[in-house]
Amino acid sequence: MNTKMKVLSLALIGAFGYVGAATAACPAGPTTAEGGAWSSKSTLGGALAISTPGFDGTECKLDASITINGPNMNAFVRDDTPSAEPRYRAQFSVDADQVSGLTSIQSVKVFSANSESTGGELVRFNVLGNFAGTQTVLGIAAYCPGEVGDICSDSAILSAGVNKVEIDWDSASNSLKIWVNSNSEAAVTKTISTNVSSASTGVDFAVLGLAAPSAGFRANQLNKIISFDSFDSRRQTFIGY
Amino acid sequence: MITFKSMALVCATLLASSAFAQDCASPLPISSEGGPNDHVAGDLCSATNTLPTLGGTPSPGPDIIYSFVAQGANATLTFTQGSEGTWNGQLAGIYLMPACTQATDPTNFGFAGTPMVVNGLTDGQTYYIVVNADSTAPAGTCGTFEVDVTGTLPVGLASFTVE
Repeated sequence: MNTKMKVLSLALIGAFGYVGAATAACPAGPTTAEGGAWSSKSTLGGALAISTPGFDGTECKLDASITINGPNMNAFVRDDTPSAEPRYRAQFSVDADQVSGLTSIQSVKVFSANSESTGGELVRFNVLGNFAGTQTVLGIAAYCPGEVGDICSDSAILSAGVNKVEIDWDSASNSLKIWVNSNSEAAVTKTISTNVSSASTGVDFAVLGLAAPSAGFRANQLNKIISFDSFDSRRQTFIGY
Repeated sequence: MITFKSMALVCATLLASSAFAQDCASPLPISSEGGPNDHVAGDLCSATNTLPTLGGTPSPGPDIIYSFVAQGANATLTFTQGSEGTWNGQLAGIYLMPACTQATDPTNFGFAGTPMVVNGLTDGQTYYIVVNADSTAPAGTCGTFEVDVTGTLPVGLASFTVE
């Protein structure tokens, strides 16, 4: 079993090599069919685009936006590489500066790690704001059987600019650990006890991008870009940066 | 014979039970200005978490839920937050929800200094007012609050006669 499942970096680390000109290094689109690394994409009332440069010296990044004010609009990519993973680590970079002035009713899903069977969205991250609209927040929801609604929730503050978000979902230890802009495995930002038994469910696919925008988000943040880069997922080891 | 002390204990128990019964299945009433519940007050420290999320908005802490059936709704709800230390400097406020589920995104909100305007609702539909701490607040954040209604939520029945 590989300990590293996939590097889906939009910087195309290794897979395509660094050829100097940024445009030459970027694929036409994020999916494998377009030269990227993702299994599939969805743009229902939304848009995905590859732009240059990426974050932290990479070549390319993924820009996602909601373009139509309607329910269930989305713009995301999907990775089908995982297969009932009992432990799933993933990291990505996200910059939500363009969606400024987010309030607590302006939310959009930016990441989920999902089971095809039990639990559905085992981990879900939303970007939203606080009441005063002064902070950008990473809303955290995890499948927690036995808790109210089978969900545990929490939040973490995002910084201006690029944020590094990493998770370690581990059914054996019934925990979800989250690092936000922390490059130390010991310095966990949030830990959630998930009550998930080791054999009950696992991660089958991951989604990165924008989905399930709230009415408030759609009314105020249409065509504004949230950018992603440097997605990496693996089974065992801390990713860091 | 019921002594004063035991009577007080019964009352306290009833109040506590009432606080814990506030959920989607048994929401508390809130009414138009001049109605019986145009001023409501509560303490999130006596409540539990019944909605772990409001759609994409995390809600790990206790909540208290009110409901009304909209009829010509055109109101302003003013939220006042208590000053006790249990809030730990965190804001709390109110959310307007068209349904009372953890998958439902709130459509409006208000907090201290920012009243929530409620209008444009569908007559005859039940709406919910959820009192909750801010999206950035830790799970244990709680304290007292008051909500005052100015204007119309449901249309009150002024009189009724049978001839």
